[in-house]
Amino acid sequence: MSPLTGQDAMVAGGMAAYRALVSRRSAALLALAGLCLAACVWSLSVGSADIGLGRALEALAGGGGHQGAIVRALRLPRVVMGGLVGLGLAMAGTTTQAILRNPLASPFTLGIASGAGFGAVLGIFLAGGHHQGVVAGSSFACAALTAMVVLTLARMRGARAETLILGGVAVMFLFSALTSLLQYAATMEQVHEMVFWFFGSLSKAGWNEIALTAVCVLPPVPLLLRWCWDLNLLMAGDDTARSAGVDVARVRVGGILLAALMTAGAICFTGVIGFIGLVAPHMARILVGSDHRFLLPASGLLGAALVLGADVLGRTAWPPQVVPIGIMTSLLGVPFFFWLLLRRTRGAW
Amino acid sequence: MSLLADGLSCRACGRDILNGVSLEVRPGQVVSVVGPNGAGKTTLLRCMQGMVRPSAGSVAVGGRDVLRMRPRELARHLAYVPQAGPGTMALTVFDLVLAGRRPHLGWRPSPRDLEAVEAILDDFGLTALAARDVDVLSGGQRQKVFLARAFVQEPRYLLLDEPTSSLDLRHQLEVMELLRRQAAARGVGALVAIHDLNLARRYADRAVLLHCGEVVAGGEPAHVMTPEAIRAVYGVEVECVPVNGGSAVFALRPVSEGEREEHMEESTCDGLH
Repeated sequence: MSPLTGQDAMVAGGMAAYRALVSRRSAALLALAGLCLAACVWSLSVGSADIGLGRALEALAGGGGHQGAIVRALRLPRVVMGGLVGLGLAMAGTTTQAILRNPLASPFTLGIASGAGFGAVLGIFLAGGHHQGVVAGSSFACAALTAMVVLTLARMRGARAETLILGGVAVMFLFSALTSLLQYAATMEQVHEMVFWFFGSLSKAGWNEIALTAVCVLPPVPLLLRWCWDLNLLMAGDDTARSAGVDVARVRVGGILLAALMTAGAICFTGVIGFIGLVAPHMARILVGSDHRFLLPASGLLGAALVLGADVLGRTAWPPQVVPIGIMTSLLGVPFFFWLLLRRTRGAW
Repeated sequence: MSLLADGLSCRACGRDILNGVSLEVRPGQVVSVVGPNGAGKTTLLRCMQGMVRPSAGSVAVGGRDVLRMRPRELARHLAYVPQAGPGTMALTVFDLVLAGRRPHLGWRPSPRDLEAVEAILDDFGLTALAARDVDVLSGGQRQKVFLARAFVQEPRYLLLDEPTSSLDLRHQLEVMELLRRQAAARGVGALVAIHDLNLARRYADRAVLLHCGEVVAGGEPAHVMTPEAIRAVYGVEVECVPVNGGSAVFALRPVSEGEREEHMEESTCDGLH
């Protein structure tokens, strides 16, 4: 049982208990926003050149001389991109978990991330890694195509959760095979670039890329928040949701489209950043419970903070080496996930 | 303002699951649907809720075709409580019941929504569980939560699929009492698919006996579930024993196929189609 759903809250009437729950969830949400902000500032000030917190903030305002220029030109885009990617992947993960009513679901389960990976590899194969636009475009297009294929499969069978999961896993294997095939056929130089893409990196991001990612990641946020009651009801089962007036097929298809858009936008410029989409929702669930009015923003904030934190650790762990963000998130995420699995006292949620 | 199914038929996998079923539920009335496994009880409920498209016939509340309503409007007329499954849910009891207010809800629940939830939790004896997760509850408590969720939706009619299956004796009675009392108090009619013939007789105003997708009898529960009808439809010999001013069904033994055919030639589904 999570700390915020404990019996200590059940004094007096049901509404009092619920009010207590809501105010504690709000407090947790506020704390997460603070954490996210702290991660941003930390990320701005730490790196190969250590710039103090005060200096980093000064640089944001336009001052700080040489160091200010480093912060504005190199670190700020990195922080913004990291935040967007973490937010997008985490909220996409939360949405897929609710829509598929499966605690193991993530943007990866639906094959969207594999589609994006294959697209990037295809772009490198055809145009070379230096054509960043081609790689990102191809990655995005393949992710979108994957979402379409999985959704078409699902629609033919009435948009059932099981069909979506099975279809997604099958597509994932297909893309994994196709990716290997291209790597087999590619030149050494191309293979190197492909492998590097899969590591994930926030350093390729310029302001143009950030703008495109923001366009994919941010507009779905209010749309998903509008659906939070429907997502809550979907957790109780399709029949119950339908009974309460949820257009189940519409929410499921729409939610997957939005999750696909967020995922594709998040990873097409930065590579596969593992695990955030799976772990952030679960951490958020422990903190604020499963009401999506709180869970969605909480997981988004936590996802952003996790990516930024992993990036800072990746930059500072073995200087002057920078450990790629994709490796770092998985290295930190897997032990944490095991810990979550072992400590849980109830179901898989 | 009654709930009316008229000539409802449903075909799936090349088989008639429902064949011209007609029935009526009035406000505040509890109508039980009984019949053996595979008789079409669940399909009947799902058809009436519009989850399964009927191949013929119509369902109406107060003369309005529910199958043409938009989801939100439909939810204000009918609520469905599915058979309790083992599904996991991390929602708290209050969250889940509050989500039942969705057809009336803005994004932020109004004081009226919260009061409705608190009142129903109180009525159902669930107040102490309000902040607990649904998936740590026992089967009986969980069934009450789902029933509360359906009532708080404030529909005109409830459709319940086996609300007492897998519940212990006490919870079976509690759930049926709650249903009976709340239906009468709120003027909400309920159509209940149920296996337990004694619960069906005791708590329903009317009963419908379904066999192979057709209504073979309907009316006063004691007149519908006669030993003859039960023998013909279920293939079980029963005795009605007087209990407490009424009577209860006591099952004696299954009837062999040969004996059954002597009584009713078209007693198996194959005989009908």
